[in-house]
Amino acid sequence: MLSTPRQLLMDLSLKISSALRLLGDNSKTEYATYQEVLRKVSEDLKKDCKSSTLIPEINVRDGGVVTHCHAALATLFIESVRGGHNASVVTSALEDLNWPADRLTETVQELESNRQLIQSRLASLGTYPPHIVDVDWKLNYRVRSSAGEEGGGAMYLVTLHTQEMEGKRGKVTFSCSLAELTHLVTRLRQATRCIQKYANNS
Amino acid sequence: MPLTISEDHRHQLSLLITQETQVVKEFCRLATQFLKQGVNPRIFGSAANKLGVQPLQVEDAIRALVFLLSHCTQAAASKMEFQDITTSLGFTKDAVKVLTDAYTDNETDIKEYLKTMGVQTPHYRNLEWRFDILVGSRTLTHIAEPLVTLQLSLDENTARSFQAGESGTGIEERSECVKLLLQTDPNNLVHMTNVLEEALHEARTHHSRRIHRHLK
Repeated sequence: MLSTPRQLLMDLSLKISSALRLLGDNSKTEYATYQEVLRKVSEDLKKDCKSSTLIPEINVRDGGVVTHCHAALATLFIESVRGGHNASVVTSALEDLNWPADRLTETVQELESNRQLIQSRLASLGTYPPHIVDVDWKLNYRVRSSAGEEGGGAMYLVTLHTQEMEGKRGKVTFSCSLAELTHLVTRLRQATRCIQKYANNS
Repeated sequence: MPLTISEDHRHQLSLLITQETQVVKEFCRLATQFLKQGVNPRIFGSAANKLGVQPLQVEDAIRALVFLLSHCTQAAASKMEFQDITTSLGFTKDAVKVLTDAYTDNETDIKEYLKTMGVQTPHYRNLEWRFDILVGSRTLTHIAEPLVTLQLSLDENTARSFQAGESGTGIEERSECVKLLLQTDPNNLVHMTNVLEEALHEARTHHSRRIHRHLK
């Protein structure tokens, strides 16, 4: 992958900033609660399904404040990956919100360890054509058919396995002769060579 | 393949046996037209009027004739064998000649028709590719992801209804080109190319050549 310039500042709304300020404040949020929120956020971002309500007992006691903090931290994680903000940008954003060093280091570490995963999950959102992930083939010799055809020669049956939106799997199957498969492979080789040329130049 | 004509087909063809050669000729024309593009059902009505029978009887006779022609082609029956079978059905000498001409003259069309009846799988026609670099999306900005967009064209034989004239439908057999839009990344593209190169190699192995020679 090519290197890209990183954005230097994170743009967080007032609501998100104040919830994060609260989450980082030693005197207002207990360490255990903060840890639970951090654990829950990183767990939720890894999971495919929608998350259940967060830590019900604490949530009820605090009148929904913890939910706000959870949403704010999840937003921070997603926004930093979405916008390509690196660890130092996130660190300075949290420093501006007066986060103590221990919570800050821990949160940034957690974010960095999940960055790849969050990135691939964000990439899988939206609309895109079926993505080919594998291919199967069979080689048959046609002998005879009910239609009276005789000796059709070598025939390939090719199946392309694809990944579609929301993790669905699909496949495309078609038959082709030796000459047609040669045509197909020539086209694919052309494309491969073109990409390699660009990769070597950049 | 043994050449047998079922009782039902014999019964349906019996309408033609008593007709003049000119009528048999017209039915042969309709049957070959049926093979190529289907027949407007209104024709059944007008033919039935002229012959003083029911339109369904005309339709059955044409279908039975199509069956006779395609069944004999399937069994690779010779001209002589075809003459024998039509004579045994009770056709006059002149009618047999008309039918045999229809059988030999339309061999290619009948074979094409039979192909559309057989086991069908979509067939490769073409592949176009485009190399893109994805630089951003709503969910992910500041990226540079190489992507290959592929357009795969496949031929699919489909039987579909079409509107013929003001009323009624016919069946049209034709090959339709379907274009599929797919994408892949460079790693998968290389993988796919390698796997399919292996497939090409398989056809050149000693084992494949031996089977090929044996079946020729």
